[in-house]
Amino acid sequence: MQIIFPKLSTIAYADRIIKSCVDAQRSTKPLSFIFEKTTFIDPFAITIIAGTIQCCLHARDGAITYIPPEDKKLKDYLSQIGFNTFFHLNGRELHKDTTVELAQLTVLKPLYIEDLIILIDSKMRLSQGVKDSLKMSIQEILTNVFDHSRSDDGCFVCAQYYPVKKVIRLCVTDFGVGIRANLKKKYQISTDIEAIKKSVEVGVTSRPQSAGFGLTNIRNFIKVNEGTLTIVSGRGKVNFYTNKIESYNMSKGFEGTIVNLKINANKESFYFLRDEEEYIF
Amino acid sequence: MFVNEKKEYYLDIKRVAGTDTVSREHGRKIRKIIEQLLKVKNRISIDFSNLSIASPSFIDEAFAKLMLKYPLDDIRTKLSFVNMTVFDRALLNDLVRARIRERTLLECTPRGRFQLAAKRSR
Repeated sequence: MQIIFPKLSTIAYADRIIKSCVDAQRSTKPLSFIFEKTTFIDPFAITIIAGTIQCCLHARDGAITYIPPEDKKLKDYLSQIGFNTFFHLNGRELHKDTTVELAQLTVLKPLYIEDLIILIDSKMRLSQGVKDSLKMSIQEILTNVFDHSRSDDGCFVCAQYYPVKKVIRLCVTDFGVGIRANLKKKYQISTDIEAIKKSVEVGVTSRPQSAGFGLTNIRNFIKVNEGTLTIVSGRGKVNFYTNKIESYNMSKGFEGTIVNLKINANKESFYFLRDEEEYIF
Repeated sequence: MFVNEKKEYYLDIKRVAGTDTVSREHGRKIRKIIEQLLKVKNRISIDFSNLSIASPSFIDEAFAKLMLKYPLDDIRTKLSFVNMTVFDRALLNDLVRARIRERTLLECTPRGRFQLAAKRSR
């Protein structure tokens, strides 16, 4: 079976990419992941494809063909972020100050989260409070994956800064049970879209104790930043913008959860928390 | 009982710096003026006339760096920042906190303590 990825493998083609990945995971035939014609790939596609390849490797004992892109720039980029070697080597890839390389996390790795914050902080002006809040939120999203997704593979994370558009894209993908399965134990939810929308509400969590601020905090930050938070789970895909929410039903359900952030990065804005400590002056 | 009442000194940033409120060089000039005033004045009111500075370099160099040379309590007692935009005030506080953290770290090592002493003696 040939899995051919689009020329632009980005979140804009989420439906097609997810469909290809789900088909790959369900297929019992020999698999070829073909990037020949692909010229651009974003963290959303990188994490979901990496996770899919990992799942397929587990299931078929390595019987997978990978056709790299013809585009030299993309080939170099994939090698630079560790995509090519990800499944064979454990070492860290060299990366520029625009990338946090692809990683599979099965436990919280504070140094990796620190790298994500350093990347964001280096492209924007954030107060210590905002940095701490983002770090806590990312940690909580990852903790949710480890505690509730019931995914043996943990999650796949990757981040990239695009200097021309001045945008940071960060994606966390897990192949677990999804948001709806987790929240329906505690809340009355009938669709994936409903579950996704519920997940960003304050204090919504599948845990018994008080928690559930990870996605809410991120959502609030993205609102102020005028960026986009996209959550994909099951058949639902929801884009959270500053003033509106767009939801889509996808043709194929994604078994797991994808949290994708598009952060507008510029040095003109300064982000701080309204109630951040007492002012010195 | 004798009372020596010293009036508050008023430093108008707009008048002193004009449009030079961007670079570190501009900030350094203001810091030098403040350091001179700190020797003779008990209270200095720095007025921004709601001018939007929005330059971390300027604010860090002009005000936050004072934290490496003077005790925080001294600076808090002697300096006040008036008519400052919400944005600039948040920026100032964040940069001041960063310099206080730097000072705390420097105070932990002999080399750091030497660097701080050198700054104070300048």
